Amino acid sequence: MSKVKSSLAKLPLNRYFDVMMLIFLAVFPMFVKEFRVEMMGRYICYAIFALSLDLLWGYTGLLSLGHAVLFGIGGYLIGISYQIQNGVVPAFMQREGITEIPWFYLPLQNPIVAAVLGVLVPALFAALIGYFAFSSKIKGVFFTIITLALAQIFKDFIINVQKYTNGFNGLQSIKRFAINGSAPLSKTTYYYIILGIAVLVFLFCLWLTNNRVGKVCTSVRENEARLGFLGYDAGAFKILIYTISGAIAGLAGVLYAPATSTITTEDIGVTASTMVVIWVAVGGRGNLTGAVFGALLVNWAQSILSEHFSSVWQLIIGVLLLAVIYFIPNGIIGQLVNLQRRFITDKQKNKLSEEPVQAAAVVKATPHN
Amino acid sequence: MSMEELRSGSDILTIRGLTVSFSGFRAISDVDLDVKEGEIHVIIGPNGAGKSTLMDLITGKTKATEGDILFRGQDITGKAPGVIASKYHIGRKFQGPNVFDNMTVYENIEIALGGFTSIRKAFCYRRKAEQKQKIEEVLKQINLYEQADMMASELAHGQRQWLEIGMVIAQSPELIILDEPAAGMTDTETFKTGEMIKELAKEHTLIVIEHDMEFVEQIADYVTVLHQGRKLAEGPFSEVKNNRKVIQVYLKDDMDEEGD
Amino acid sequence: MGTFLSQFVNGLNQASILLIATMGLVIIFGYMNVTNMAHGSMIMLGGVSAYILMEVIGLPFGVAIAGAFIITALIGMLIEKLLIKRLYSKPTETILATYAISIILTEIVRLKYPLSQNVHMPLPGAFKLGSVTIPYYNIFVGIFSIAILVFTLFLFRKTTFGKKLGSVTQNRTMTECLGIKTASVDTLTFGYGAGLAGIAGCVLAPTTGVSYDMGSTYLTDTFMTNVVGGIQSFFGTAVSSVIIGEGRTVMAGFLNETWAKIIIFMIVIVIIRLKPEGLFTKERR
Repeated sequence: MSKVKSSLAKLPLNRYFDVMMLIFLAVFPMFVKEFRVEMMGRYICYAIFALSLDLLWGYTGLLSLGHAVLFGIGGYLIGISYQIQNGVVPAFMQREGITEIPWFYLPLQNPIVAAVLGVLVPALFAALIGYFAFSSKIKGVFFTIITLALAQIFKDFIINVQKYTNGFNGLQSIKRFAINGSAPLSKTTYYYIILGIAVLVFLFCLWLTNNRVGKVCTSVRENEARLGFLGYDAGAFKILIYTISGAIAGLAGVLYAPATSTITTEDIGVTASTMVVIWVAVGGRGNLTGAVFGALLVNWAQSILSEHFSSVWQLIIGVLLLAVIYFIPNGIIGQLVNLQRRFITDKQKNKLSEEPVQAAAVVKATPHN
Repeated sequence: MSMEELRSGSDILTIRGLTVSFSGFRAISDVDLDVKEGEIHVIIGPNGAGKSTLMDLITGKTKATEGDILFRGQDITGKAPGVIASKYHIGRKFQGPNVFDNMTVYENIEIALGGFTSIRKAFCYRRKAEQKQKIEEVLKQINLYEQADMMASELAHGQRQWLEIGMVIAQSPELIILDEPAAGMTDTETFKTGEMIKELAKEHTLIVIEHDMEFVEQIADYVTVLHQGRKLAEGPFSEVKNNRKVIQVYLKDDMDEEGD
Repeated sequence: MGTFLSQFVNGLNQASILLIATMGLVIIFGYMNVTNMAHGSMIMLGGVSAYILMEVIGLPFGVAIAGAFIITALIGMLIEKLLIKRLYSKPTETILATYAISIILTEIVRLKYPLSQNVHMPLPGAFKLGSVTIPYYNIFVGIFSIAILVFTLFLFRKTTFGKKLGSVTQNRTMTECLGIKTASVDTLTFGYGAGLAGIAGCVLAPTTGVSYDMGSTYLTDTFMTNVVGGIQSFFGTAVSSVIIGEGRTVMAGFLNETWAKIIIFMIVIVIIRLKPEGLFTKERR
């Protein structure tokens, strides 16, 4: 019994946080109006999205400033699915003179196929970009630049191929997984589906990061050059984690578009990519909890504050990011976990220093050079 | 001459005519070196003598302009660092602690053990009794058994150096290169490090770069002196210590440095 | 052929501006090793300075160039002193902090000038060479960018300041021992790099107008140009500016701007995969 107790005390603080957040989210729909449920469902999608970035940035040290591209691919694929149900050519295509659904959209008519592709396509896309960006000699920061350029170009691209994507206007009336003419899922049911998937994704990330793969990724972050000398193929691990991250980001997009019933170019560009970086930075990177907490917290704050400060909201975001970097570089959760850790190791050190071994240290008077 | 005979045994590492130049500046020029199986071979020389560059060349970090490096007769010149580390089992501890800071001591050693260098291995890897035993063995060898769960960043400077050495041992290298293993350590720590190295020499061959003469005397079987990228002298410590050329160069440079 | 030639002439303008702006990055990213995500915003600020000086105050173009340089250099130095200095050994934090700065600068300008502003052409007119019209301004920009390249090379290779900078970037601690104030060398260098971006923005202003969001496109463009050319190579930057500036403009003439961007992006990542050190490298230890 005392053993259980002591191992509980050693459990990092954030695991308690996880449980508390889960309980909160599970009971949330019972106490609020339906539109709040819809809103929170959206935030949980963002939390999944944030987890995908945390794997890549928090654990592996690869900062993507274009992560919304992968999210957007997922969202657009499911979105298109609901524009072309029952073989109807959507108005925005007809306007451009398209009379038949283009062949490459045909498989998307089935929402399930679209959802699966919404996970696979971003993963493959990430793998492709990763293959080019993660050759051993390329500086890590260049990945950041490439992904930023990608976000700019991808948004331009979606706007440019208007006849297939409805350009600026984005896609509307995306149903909450109405399959074969059945009615869409209720908002609350869909909320719990999102929450359930979020829990699975979280557990997967937890498993992955505590697994050897995660440990190697952490070593990439800590000291990539050293890892190379130990005989590891860091590049392959980076491509792998980016691919997994892409799949999860895509999944978040697939869940997100039906939750809000729309997806537009606002959800895929540089601004959206910056937001996910902010969530992870505020919550704390490299411990999963921070990503989820940051996504929920910042979005909740945004929903309250941006009504009053809509014109300066981006400015506030910039200042917030700057403040986090200088004052709580590990984010909110990271800071709390560090405090707890320091507390525990201080205790350990006190125990150790009672032993005579440490006392023997004599500092050299003049270190010979 | 008599010393050459004392140093019997076959070469683990043979270097011939090694030269490297950076934009015309010859950091290493025409160096020959023989490292015998099982010895502690210490390389000394004043700052800028090319000691670290020489190690960079052996481990593949830098490509040689000319010359050959043979590991037990096999040519390893210009091979990739990863290949030299994993295929030829040459392990290197860098100058200054170069560990994975925000990971535990245990994890550091486990990563270095290299049971999961590829993605497939990483997914299939299970920590077996065998690995556990090896990790614990290494932790004991480097005096960090008690600190296994601490983050590397929380260790004292000397302990971090030992962790580095532990990471090198974990790779089961046949040839270990230690770049200033005792830099910045207290006297006690330095002495302990020396004993640690001697213990290692029972199973491995070591090349050690070092400044501290007392430390060199403690560990060295054989010493090579580098100066301005060239080999100045070689032999057992007692002999090198009294070599006139060495004294001249070494003491002169030493005094220059102190004059700064 | 007609489209090609006229696009080629336009491309030279693009290439020249890219060259000036990327030189700033060679200094800041290549030499100082600061991943300055606010470099694009410096270009934007240069453009805004040009607008204020020329259109609001009514000063001549020459003064605007000097003014844009001084204003952005000062802002750059301020940012370096207040924010970046504390992050020199933390690359990730530097990226984030400078990115935050770029958001803040962009938003401040957006509040003041939410719409794109026009800056009048200081050198109107053009001459015809066969079927191709060559604006005088394009010729000026081309010559001007080469002049800046020559001046910068001179500054970095021949003057004591340049030598100090060289020694700071190669061995910081050693240089400090020699009594050079590395901190002020850093600040001045950063200021010069930012100032170059400001000049680029100023020169760009009459052709494209000035808008708060012009920075982010130029940010990625300059970084890509820099990496393709070789991060420490001024000469390589000149070559890659021509490749990227011309490539994009010429292709945009035949396809459209978005596809030109996509193709250039793909070419860039392939080049970087094949030649990670860039097309032109300085041999380094």
